[in-house]
Amino acid sequence: MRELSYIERYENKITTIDYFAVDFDEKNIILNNEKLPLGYISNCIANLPKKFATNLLIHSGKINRHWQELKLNGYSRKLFMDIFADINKMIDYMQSLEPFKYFDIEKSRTTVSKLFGKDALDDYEYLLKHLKINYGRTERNEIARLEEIENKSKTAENVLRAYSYIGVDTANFDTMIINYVENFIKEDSRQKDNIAKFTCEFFENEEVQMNLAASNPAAMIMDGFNLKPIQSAVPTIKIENGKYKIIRRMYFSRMMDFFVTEFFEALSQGHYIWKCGVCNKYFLMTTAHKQLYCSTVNKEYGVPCSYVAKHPEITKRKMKKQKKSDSPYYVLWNRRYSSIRQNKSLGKYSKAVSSKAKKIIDMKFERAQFDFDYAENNYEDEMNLEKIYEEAMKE
Amino acid sequence: MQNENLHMYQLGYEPNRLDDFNDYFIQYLKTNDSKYFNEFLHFYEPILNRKAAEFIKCNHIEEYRLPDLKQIFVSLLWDELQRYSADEKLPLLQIMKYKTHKAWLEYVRTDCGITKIESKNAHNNLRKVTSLYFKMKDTKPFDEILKEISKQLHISENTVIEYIEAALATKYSGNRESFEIEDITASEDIVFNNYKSKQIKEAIQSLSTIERKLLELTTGINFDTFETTEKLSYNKTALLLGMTESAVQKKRKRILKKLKQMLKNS
Repeated sequence: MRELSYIERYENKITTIDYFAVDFDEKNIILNNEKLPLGYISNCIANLPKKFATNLLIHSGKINRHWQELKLNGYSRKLFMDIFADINKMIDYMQSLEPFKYFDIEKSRTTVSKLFGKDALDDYEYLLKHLKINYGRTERNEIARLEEIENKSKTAENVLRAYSYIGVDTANFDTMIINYVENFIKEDSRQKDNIAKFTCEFFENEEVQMNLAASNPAAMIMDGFNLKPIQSAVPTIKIENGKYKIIRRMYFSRMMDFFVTEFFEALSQGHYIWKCGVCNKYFLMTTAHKQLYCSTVNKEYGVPCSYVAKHPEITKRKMKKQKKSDSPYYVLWNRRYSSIRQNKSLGKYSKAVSSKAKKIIDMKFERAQFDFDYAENNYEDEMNLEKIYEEAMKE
Repeated sequence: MQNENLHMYQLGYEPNRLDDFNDYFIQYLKTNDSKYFNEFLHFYEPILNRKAAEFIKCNHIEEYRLPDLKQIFVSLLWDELQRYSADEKLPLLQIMKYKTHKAWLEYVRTDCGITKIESKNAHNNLRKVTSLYFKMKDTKPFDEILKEISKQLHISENTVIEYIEAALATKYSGNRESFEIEDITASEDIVFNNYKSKQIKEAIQSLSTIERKLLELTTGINFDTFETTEKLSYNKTALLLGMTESAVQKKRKRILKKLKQMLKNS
């Protein structure tokens, strides 16, 4: 029986691939202690290369066949050994893929080993031999043991189900998200109300619904994309920098439920996915700014796509102009600049400190314009307002 | 006898290859042992041979002049080494690049039969004629220039013509001290001429990060170490800095103007 707890602690959570807790913290999700902006997972799925999605489908398909066989013929040692080997192969494949690499891979392996390893098989065989519990005669310890094995077998079935769904869920969600984005990029406004309006129209559209249903590669036997994700939400306490914080923890047992929940939570916060006009990859937007090209480095040219877009000799056509003020690095600089000015006028910091802080953010912003590694990995961290003031007061 | 006690050019001596050529100069300054200078020459000779051969090919002079060019380099290097300090950020070979070009061109002008300038006086006259010629060449016709120079310097018009021909053939521009050599541009020239001065370092430091980067990419000079790197075209620079080509051109012009102004005022 699950222990009754009124409120959960941040530290006590599991994030295995089959059953996992995800914390939702304002505009981020925390997956296995990794803080990611809402929408990040959806973006990963949108950018998942077709080859990988297909391989995942093949791995998942194998496990699904094992599940069907289990339902049809019941337990056999060979079947469970095959399941154990195939799930491990699937985990091997998933462990380097975004977004699955953020799950607790080692813990997932341990769970699978506990449920499908040699000891577990001995237990299941023991249970099969002593299926009938005679409550009058069977010893109390024996009853407890048999009940424990029975629970384990049920969990094993749930885990098997979860792995068999991953491939299909990823493929279906991928189809949905790509369709959604391809239509959304035709919109002019990226404000929250327009995102909501577009989302409503998109999912109410019968043609879209039919296309999504038809695209489900296993429509007859498995549920495809659905807008009613199942999750249990638990209030959770997190202590961050010595301060208590209440966050929402959601438990999922199926990948599609997690994908859909994360996607709609992202939309509700004004996060959405856009398509880069240069490399055609999808990128996550967390503001309504009209960024047209991604700011990650384009592997072919070694510079961000937004830089490539300014060179028609490379793109072979004149690209739509992206305003400087729509660059994410500028947006962050501008936010910090406004805060520095505001703090100065409120008298929180002296003129000298404010001027030094302004110089510091200018330097960091300028560096981000040509040091792409710095821009992608350190710029956001270094633009933390507290750190900037600390630096300004040191000098 | 231990190998390290042997001297260069003694039997059994094996020169030690240091990681960086500049390390030989640093070691020489520390120990005052000329073996480091000799060892440097030993390892640098193939490069020097190649550079001298390229210079000969470019300037259409006779191949037998190669040892002369090498000798000029060695004596210049020795002189510079005496003035060089271990704290200097700029590697000595970098300084030598500019000075060697200058000296080799001087050699072509004075010794390679373009004109016979054997005396010190004649050499001084060449400088004066060239300087005057470049001052007047855009404002006056050639005949007038000839007459005026001849009158001012008390030399015949034919000699003036000879000097001007020599200067033009060797791309020498008199007192301006600038050489239009393909791999040394005007901006590089400013830097090399002033590398020791505090002013240029301060002027460059006062530029914004992006301005400095733009100048670094288009001139191929790293302004932290004053080492030269690959010089990029405006188009490539524009791509790296997220600008258009014309924006790079305009910005570069503005930066150079700003630098010149700062150097003038300092």
